[in-house]
Amino acid sequence: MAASPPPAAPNRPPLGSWPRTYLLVCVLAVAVMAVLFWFSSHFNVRMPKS
Amino acid sequence: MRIVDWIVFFAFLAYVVWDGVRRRDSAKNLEGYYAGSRSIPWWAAGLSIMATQASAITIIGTTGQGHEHGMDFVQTYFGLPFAMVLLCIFLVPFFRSRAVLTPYELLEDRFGPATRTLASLIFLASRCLALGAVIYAPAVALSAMIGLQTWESVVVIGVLTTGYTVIGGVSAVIWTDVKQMTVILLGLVLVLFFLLRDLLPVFDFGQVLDLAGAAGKLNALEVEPEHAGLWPRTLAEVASGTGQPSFWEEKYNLWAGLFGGLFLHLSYFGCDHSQAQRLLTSKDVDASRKSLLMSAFAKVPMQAFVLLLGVLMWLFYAVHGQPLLYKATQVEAAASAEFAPAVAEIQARFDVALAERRQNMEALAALPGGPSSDAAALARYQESVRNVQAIRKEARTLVGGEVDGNGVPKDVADTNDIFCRFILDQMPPVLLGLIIAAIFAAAMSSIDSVLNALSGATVVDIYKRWLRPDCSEREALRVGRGLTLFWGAVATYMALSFAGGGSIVEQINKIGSFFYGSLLGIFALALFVPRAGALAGALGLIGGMASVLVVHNVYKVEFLWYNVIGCVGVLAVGGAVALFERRRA
Repeated sequence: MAASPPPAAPNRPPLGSWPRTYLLVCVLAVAVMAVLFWFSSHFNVRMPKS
Repeated sequence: MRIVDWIVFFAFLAYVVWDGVRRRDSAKNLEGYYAGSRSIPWWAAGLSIMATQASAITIIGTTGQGHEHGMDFVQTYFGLPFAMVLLCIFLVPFFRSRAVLTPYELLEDRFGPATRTLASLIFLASRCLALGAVIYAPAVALSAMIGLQTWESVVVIGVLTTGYTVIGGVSAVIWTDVKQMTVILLGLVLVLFFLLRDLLPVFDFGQVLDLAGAAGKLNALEVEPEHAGLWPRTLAEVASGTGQPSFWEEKYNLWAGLFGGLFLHLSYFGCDHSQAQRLLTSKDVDASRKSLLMSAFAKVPMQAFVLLLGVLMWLFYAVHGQPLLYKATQVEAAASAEFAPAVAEIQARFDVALAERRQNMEALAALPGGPSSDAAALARYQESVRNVQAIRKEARTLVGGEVDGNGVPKDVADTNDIFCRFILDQMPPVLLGLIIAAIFAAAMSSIDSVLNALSGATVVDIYKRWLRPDCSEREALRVGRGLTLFWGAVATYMALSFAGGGSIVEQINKIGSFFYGSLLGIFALALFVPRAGALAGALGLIGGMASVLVVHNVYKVEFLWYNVIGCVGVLAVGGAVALFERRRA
């Protein structure tokens, strides 16, 4: 008897649940903005208007 | 370009075309041609979503934007991760609720055929208008690099991309996008390596950031808007010089990026078929969600990285000597008998200004307490930075050859030529060919997606819906291939007539912003206003477009906000009409 093909792997949410994944995306987005805020406030000096 | 660069460049182009053409077997019917038989892995669809957005514009335009204006443009993307999450929650399950080939098909279920067709036509019009700019950017680059005329470059890009897209359909689009995205990332990392190689012997990395920041280039996040007024100025007030600039006139700050950007990206990734199509190619809802979230994680850091490359490029030129003009046509005009004497005088002043800037830069870098520890040195440096900018602007205006409505010569920006000039002058053999290939990859990966999507919307929403509802699968596929060819020709023609001043990356977003908000609004109306029917849908969509048109013609408001205005316009008009519409059964 021919072996049946293995069932396709189910598409599981990356962290086990979608709400947890969405939360991670939002937390990381805020973290990236916080890093950019630090970067700007630490290094950038606004050019005065001519 | 040297012979080895040509070999690398042509080898890559040949590989991409072959890779696209060999997918023809998976495009035997409409499902295969436009939806990849719903069998594309999520990671490939995700890379394709990123590659479609990361067009040549990302490489050429965004680095130029970083060079000229710093990193403020990254704020446009702040709303993107949140937009992706909202799309995953609300729109992806809606799109995958039945096996559609365009998202506009679903609008017919809710609002009837008129709204579906109108939404599809809005997509066709907006994408068609923007496509000219997408081809034009790399064509200009190619012209500057290998001596072709711009129109010749447009034709080469248009023909190659149209060729493999006609044959291989969406599978060709996605799998070539995967390779193209890889080459794009490799190209960008190589440019970073060469910039740091030339900068770090002169200044350490901390000084590099201090000097770029002191010139106002590291403005990655502006919390406080420059103008606090909330009532927008009318265009008449702007023309007469009265009234105060308002918050809505600022292109790049945290709030415009978060809210305007949220609506822009909700619309672009959710309602523009050239992106939404990827969500229909994976096997199920979860796979589509994963492909969207790839961009949510990667886009803001990637955009910040590309802008930082542009800032480093500015510093590279500040250290190693900056050209007065970057655009090849302007350099040519400057050498002509008509302009040479005036340009020679400007060049002499420019050389003095460059020397002053270099001197002030070294003085600032030597301060042990950083740039802010000596206000006078900082002011001298900023003044010299501004002086160099002003002289460059004077030269561009002189030789640009364009006049404004009053016949006064205007500044013809060279934002999109800076990256090309850098790689031509600085890249070693082989790598130059690879990076030019990366620019091409970026262009092709955006164009192919749009061509397949335009063809899909025309066949499914127009041809099969209105002209030949009973046509066979075979006929529809044949027409689809023909329409891909047609849209390829239209795109090439649009690119030939594109007058590409300013930043191309902005031009694309501006064109999209006129239409996207309304498309988002109609999907929001479908999802969140259950009692809205056919009349509410159609009038809402028209109302959203009209709102954007009125605001554009009356008020001075930056383009990011058009997305919000369009969406709110649809919901307001559609919602109001729904109140008077007979309740749906």
